Amino acid sequence: MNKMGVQMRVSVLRMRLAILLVIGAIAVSTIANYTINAALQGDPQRDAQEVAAAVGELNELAGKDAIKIEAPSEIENINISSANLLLILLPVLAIILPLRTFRTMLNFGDSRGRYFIGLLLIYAAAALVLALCNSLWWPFEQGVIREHSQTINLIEVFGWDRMGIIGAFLYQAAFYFFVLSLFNLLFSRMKSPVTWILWAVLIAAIPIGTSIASLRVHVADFFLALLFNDSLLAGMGLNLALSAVFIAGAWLFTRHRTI
Amino acid sequence: MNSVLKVNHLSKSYGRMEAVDSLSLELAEHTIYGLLGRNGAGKTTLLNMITGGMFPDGGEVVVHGRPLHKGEVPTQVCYIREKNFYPNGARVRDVLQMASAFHPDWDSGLASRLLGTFKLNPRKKMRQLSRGMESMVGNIIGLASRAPLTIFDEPVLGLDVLMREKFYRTLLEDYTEHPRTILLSTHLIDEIATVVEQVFIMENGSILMSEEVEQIRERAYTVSGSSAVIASFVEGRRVIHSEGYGQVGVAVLYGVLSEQERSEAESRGLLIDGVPLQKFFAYLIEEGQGNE
Repeated sequence: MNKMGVQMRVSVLRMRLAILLVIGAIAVSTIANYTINAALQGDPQRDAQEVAAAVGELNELAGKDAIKIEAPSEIENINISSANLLLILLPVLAIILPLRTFRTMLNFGDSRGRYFIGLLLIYAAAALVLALCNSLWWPFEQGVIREHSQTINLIEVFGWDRMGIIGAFLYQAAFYFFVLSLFNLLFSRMKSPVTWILWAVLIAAIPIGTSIASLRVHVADFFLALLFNDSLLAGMGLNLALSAVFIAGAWLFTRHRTI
Repeated sequence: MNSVLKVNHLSKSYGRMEAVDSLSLELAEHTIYGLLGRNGAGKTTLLNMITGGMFPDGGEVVVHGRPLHKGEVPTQVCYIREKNFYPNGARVRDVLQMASAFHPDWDSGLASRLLGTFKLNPRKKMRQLSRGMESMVGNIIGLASRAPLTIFDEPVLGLDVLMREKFYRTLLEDYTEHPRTILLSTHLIDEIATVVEQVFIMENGSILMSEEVEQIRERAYTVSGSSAVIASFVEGRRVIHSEGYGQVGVAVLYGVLSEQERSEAESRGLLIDGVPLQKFFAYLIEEGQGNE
């Protein structure tokens, strides 16, 4: 076993419980969705009529038109794709690994530099594996799963399917790596005040960016360029360039991190 | 002898508290050292800085002739921490296998033999081990690593007397066959007195004393007898500790006592005796606190 093998082994040991919990949660969610779909027997129009009738009854009870609920013409029980649920592992991985493997590896005698490179390799492998899982699941989901239930997949939400299966795979891998490197940055040195400032900035950025009209346009443009980019190269490039910035920050944290 | 580790004016503080205060020491190759000090004396902080786990506020660490820069971890060093960070879900044999990847001189045969010697089940998970057994896993790693500089921080924590003796005996046997520099950090001086050649006694982040164990044995002594005679005898000598009971008293002194001085003292009615190392250590630290 070499040092990278040790890091992989330690990472699996630290992640084992989280992986089992996520897989368990996906299994429970899938079974629950299947049961609900089977019980409702999947008639979206009838569901919508029942909601409309319920709203009418409530209005009668309350008198006049006190309750303003617009019943949709069709109600569908849409589930998140099981392969997408697996993506919960992205933040979990990038939180647990920096928090729980750094001291173990240094305790064995590893250097900060080698540990950090190993961590990035694990993130890259995780991003590729999860992207591959979703890319392989996607045609199966379209062809088989959707015969029985309505699902939604990130590939179609962000329009990555326009780029073909390989393009979708690459875009996903780059985006997943971006998510991993962002969380890794935020959890690389929890005791540092710089980390707390980063957290505060990130938490404040979302409400501020969306509440100020002039900023809102830029925030929307940023997310469009990041997630909905028409160009595979530009989309991947932006994701990977931001990842590089986060990696540089995380390395500065790790280099000064104590045991 | 070549220097394996050199520490020059190393300092580290936590807020206003000076954990290590301008400390200097040097370790030569092929020697077993003891680092003694009470809990909170700064031993673990010092060891963490030497092994790159923590960064000093000032001073310099040179390992195998190479200055240790901020963020670096020294090579050819095995540091067995008091608190290990091995994964709880890993089996003992996995932990040993993982540790072997970081030590080029690893002796897997020795690791297997030591598992038998210390009756450690290699299939047991770390979380199933007692504190003593956990210490033993670390000690096996330290011994099997055969690192040119091996540091043990409180290696016998949680071990019973038999296991402690067995560990020190094994360490000496292996050291005899494969000489290297070993630093044992502990607060139990009596136990390591037969193992170590030189001790550093640490208190409040500084080295209070750096001596060979044999020298301490020779130079530390008690005088007991009449308080007045003791008072005149100790004049100009280093008194580590003294106590009186009415007309009689006892004093612990440190220094060279010639045969002539001994005879003179005995002729004046004083009784001169040796001091157990653990007691001497305790008195020395008390003296250090008194001098603050």
